[in-house]
Amino acid sequence: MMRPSFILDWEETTEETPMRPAVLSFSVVNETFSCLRFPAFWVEGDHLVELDGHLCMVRDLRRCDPDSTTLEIWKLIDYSSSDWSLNYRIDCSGPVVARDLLRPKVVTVIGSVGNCKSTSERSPILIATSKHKVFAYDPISESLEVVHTTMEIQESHQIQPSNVRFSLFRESLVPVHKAKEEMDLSSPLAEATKEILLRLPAKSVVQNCRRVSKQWRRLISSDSFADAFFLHKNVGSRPKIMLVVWGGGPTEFSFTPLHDWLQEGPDQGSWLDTKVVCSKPCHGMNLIL
Amino acid sequence: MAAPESGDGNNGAARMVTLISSDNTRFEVEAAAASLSQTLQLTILDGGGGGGDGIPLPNVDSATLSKVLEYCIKHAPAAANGGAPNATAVDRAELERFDNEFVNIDQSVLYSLIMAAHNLEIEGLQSLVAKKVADMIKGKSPMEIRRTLGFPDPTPEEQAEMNAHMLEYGWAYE
Repeated sequence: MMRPSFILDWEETTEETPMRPAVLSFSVVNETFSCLRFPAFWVEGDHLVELDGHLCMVRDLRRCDPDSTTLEIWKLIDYSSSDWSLNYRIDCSGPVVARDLLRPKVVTVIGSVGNCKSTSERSPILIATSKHKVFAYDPISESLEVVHTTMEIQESHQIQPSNVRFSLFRESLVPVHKAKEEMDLSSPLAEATKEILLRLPAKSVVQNCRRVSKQWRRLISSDSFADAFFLHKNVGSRPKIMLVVWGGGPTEFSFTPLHDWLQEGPDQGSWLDTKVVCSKPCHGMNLIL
Repeated sequence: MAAPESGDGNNGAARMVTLISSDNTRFEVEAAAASLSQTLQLTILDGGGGGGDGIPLPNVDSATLSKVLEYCIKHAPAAANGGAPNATAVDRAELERFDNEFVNIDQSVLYSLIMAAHNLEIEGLQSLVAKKVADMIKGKSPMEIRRTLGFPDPTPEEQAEMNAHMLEYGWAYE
């Protein structure tokens, strides 16, 4: 059986046969459409919901029998053969809470809460109504309780009875907008390596450490490392004025701190006779044109 | 022992806390020593770690934790004095001697010590060990650094990748 997450479903009421909606499924794996058959009979206003990773269909039996007090939840067992099984039958004729659930015109199952991975225990099912109440149905004790009520503050607006304004939101700890590389850079091992590298002279870091491994090179080339390095070396807080002067050979430039140059007594020979354009420092490098 | 005690230690015996390593070994130390860890400090101030509870440290194994605590116990008195402004020269020399001795251990332990210190936010320990490893690799060639730190030799693919990188960007290493 294909995993439901690879299948997109939507109910469709085709124009040719307005009375017989279909569940159209598109397999992301095979890129093919197929049609799913409905459970035994069709009830107006059925809706689809995912419960514990399974596609389910919720049927409000009041729609075909006004005296009925039952909500049915059918689970799709097999995509290829369109086999559905009646998973839950929620009887709302009992306690007051239950009858409260059936009074509103629209009742929608919005999902289940709890750890979906543990299949052994069944998670409570959340049911929202157009009267702005959310109920939790416990499949084990078959009991209902109100978990949320919203005061009808928008009474003045004409809200369509079909409007059910609740949906489930699942929090996730997966970082958003964070590349894998960035996550690697914040691993404990990378943090330890960073602490070591911060305490090395820049020359050692640039010339040797960058060639130790790909991971080290990536770490050293990262902006966060450059920032941390300069912060650690306290470079940013004491800017130096550097002069570009002739150094060594005939075509070589070198940097001399202004302070040193003045103290040593300006050496006419080191003055530049050509115009030099020098970039801002970037990852420890300057470009000279 | 739910109520946090005052830091004056005016009730005789020093307060103890229990730390539990990833391999479930329990360590009982003075709260003052464990509080060198910024991570643990708040928990301990809240009265955690006392009694039979213990603070679990799932990222630190017992070998590393015992080493970490050895450092904390030694440094706790000086830290309690707020960076030891009134410490004598003898005290300072003694701490320095201890630190030098302390990092004289196998490099594999050094690395896990840095990670533990980072995790527990023990600034002094992290700095001490990182400096030691930095000194060990300072001025060494990439290959020597790998061997010093016990990295396996590069695979042929890694070597090829590095060579290709150097061919293109070698100028940046001058």
